[in-house]
Amino acid sequence: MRFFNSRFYNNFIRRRFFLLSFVCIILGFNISFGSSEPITQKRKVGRVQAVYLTHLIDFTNWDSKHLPKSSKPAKVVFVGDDENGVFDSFNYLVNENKVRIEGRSVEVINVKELSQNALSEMPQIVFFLANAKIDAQLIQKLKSKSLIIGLEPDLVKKGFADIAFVVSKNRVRLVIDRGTFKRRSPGLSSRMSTLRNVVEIIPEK
Amino acid sequence: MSFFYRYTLFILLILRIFITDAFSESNASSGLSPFEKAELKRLLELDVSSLSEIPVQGVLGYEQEYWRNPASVHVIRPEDITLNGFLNSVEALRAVPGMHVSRGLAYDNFASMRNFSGFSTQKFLGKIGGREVSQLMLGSANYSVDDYPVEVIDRIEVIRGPGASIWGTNAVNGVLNLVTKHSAETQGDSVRIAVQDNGTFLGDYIYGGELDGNKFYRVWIRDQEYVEGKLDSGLPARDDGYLRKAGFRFDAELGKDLNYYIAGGVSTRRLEHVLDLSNRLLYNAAGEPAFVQAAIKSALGLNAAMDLSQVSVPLSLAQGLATAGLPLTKIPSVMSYNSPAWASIQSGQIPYQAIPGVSIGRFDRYAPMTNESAHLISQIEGITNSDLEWKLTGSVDQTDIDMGHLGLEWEQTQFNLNFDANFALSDRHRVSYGLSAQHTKLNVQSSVLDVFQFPTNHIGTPLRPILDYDQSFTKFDRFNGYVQDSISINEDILFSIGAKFEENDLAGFGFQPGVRASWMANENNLLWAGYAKTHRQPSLRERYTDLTPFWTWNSISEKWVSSSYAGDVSLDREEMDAYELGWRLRPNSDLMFEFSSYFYDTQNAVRAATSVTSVNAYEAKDAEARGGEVSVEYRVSDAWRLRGGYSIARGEIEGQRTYDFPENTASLSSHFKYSDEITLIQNLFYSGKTQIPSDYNPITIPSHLRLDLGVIWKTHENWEIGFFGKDLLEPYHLETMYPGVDVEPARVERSFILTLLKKF
Repeated sequence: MRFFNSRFYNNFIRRRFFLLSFVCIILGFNISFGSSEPITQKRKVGRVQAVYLTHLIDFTNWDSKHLPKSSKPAKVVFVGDDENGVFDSFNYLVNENKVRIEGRSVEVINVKELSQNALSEMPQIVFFLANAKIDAQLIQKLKSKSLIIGLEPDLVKKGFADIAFVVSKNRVRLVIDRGTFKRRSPGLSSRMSTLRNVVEIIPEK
Repeated sequence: MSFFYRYTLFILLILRIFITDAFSESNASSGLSPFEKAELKRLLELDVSSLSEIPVQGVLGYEQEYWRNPASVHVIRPEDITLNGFLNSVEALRAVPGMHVSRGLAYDNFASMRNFSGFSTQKFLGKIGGREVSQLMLGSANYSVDDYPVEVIDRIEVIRGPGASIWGTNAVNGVLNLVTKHSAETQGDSVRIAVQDNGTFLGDYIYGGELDGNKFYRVWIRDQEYVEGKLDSGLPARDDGYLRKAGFRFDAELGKDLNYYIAGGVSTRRLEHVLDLSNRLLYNAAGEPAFVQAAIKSALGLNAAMDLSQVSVPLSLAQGLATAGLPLTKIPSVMSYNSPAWASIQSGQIPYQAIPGVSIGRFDRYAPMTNESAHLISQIEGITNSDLEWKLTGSVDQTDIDMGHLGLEWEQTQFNLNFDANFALSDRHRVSYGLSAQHTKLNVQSSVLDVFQFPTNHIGTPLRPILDYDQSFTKFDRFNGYVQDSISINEDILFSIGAKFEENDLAGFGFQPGVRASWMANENNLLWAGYAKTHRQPSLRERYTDLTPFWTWNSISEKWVSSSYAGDVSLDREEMDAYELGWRLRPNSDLMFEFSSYFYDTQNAVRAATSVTSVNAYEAKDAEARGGEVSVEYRVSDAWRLRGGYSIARGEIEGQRTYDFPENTASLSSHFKYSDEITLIQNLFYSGKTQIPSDYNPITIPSHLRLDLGVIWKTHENWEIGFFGKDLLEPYHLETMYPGVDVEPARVERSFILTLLKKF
């Protein structure tokens, strides 16, 4: 290893390192600036959101009137395109960990659009994915019967959803309508409201 | 072709073969890759608060469990300690491929990583609870003393290799980072009691409470009582003693995304330790008449032509020859040295390795070895609205270590201030940077042992302690900075480039660049590579301490003269070029293989001098190390989990192969959940042989295979009772000893342990 010990090598590798650094950073900037957030990063957000959803189920109370008959599974409907893998991730967690809503097994479906048909059996959770078409009339029917979750905080601010995810400060957090804590079913435990670093509470609409 | 290129080609060839096979194993049925599924299972174990702390855009090197991390990483959870019946966290490192844990006297477990760790000096960065715990004096840490109760430990991250640029000084062979839990996660009571069949006891009690919704605290105490063990020969090891600790942590949420904590602890530990003095009082026969010298050579079977002025033998050997009738005329009188002190520490005979078939007197001097320490650490961290994550940490450590057996005591006060931050430069760049300053004050006291207190009229050189520290070096400053960019080149390639800059009083200015990258070859395979230049600063023991290990009776001058080896102020920092390659293969979410390989090229590796003609106690030599690790994690079913590992390590110092680190180690762990209440545990550990260098009695520690079996009974929601049998294959085995200090290694005996754990 005489070569590696030589002064020439040490000087050379130092210069080469600076050159390499420069090339990499320039290359990295050229590739990255102007291009969007990597899909792998978006999918990571999707996985965190899916895990949040399993916790939210534990923190939520449904009265029997808002649940299917005892023999039928509870239903979680994802509406829109599953670009970030939230549906896939949640579906996997349900299958692996036997997530239950008030003791019932859970059926998870993904539909492109929310329709009257999809609401023939009232879902316990409706999750609006990216590009989901928001139908105000249908949402009115769901309100106070299903827990409505969206990916955009605006959905909560406009009164279309009970809970939304927000990605800020490099973290995934929750925006929750205050009314979700007040109502009995589907009602969110007030314990969630104490988690200041996790939850932003929006006044009722 | 140089070794390095042959080695790289070989690794690439192996990877190519395996990857080709793995490509055919596609796993696209659910839209999630096996890595994503495995991460989901891990995320599911987090509570909502912890979930909200997961960064979206990561800094390479922070998130150790992220599967795209281009480094060789092993994470130990508290349950890996309790489920396997380990008493403390350092024992759990036995199951980490590439790490070698060995127990010596006084229940001390030494941890070394990937070769060239020497013996007591470690060449990895040890961080415990946010503090760098290595002592400047010896360049090592005592992980038994710095340990925490298991239930306050969040995780132990073991990063083999230099890791990312975010790690500071001395992250050479690797990083060991023990992270403690937030106080909010330790609310209520927790108790852990472990009792060994020989009487050794460990007890932890933790209490955590809430002051208001945003302020939490915990306090804890630990008592560990050591029962005396046995040496290899069956003699008592006299290593009984105790370790008592207490600590606290207070966490407060000062505002949204603004958190603060302060933690501290005190500990006291007292044991006895031994100094082997069998070869420390020598006799040189050069002044004897020629016929006596001839008789000595004949009696010892030495070559008749040998010049006895170049050879000194233990005084006990010369005294034995005189008693046997050899007419030694210049042998020192009992009045010329502290003969009562020597008589009081003699305990039989020991083989004299330099002359086969000859025995010398065995002299073991025991004295208390104490360690008193206290620390305080405080941290404030936040995230600004402009997405800058920052952390300011300050700590002060006070340690008083008395190595009574060596006559060396030092008091170290150390102040640290660190600032770390990272921010998004764009969606694909995350820049992290940091600055740190450290100030260390020392008060070192050396004393001459009673056995080396010679009457002044019988000494030819001034009295000196065994370890004589140069008192003109008692204050040290260190300044460190780093910058690193983590770049998502595209969807498949993550890349980080960075450098550390350092100015310190021990090693001057240093620049340590590093690059790492990972490539997601497909949904089952990830390849990574890294290069880093790293530095290790020499310890004060290596640099400023003179060693006077023995005194010789000069039969010409008829005086005692000391032999000293100076510390070497010219010892510069060790510089290492580290090349690493790794491969993570996950055929499905329940099975993962991890392969990593390394080549380390070190200049100025500090090694203990091995020749009696050496001027200095330590010498700088060029060294090479290479090897690799394989680890497997397999969840066979919901009830059965297997974890295994194998490591191979080869080291050479200037072309000479070394064996101070086992060339082969392996482990296999099985956890089988028989029912919701009962879990059966099996652990196998294999360690190849090691050689402990010594100036007169080098010891080979044989290879050993250790089998541990255990059962955990979950009696209530948070209560567990465990029963473990350890080292079941043999009554005892040997693991290590201090070269030049211990006269023989201690036994690590078969033992049975009963544990009781109440979780929070």
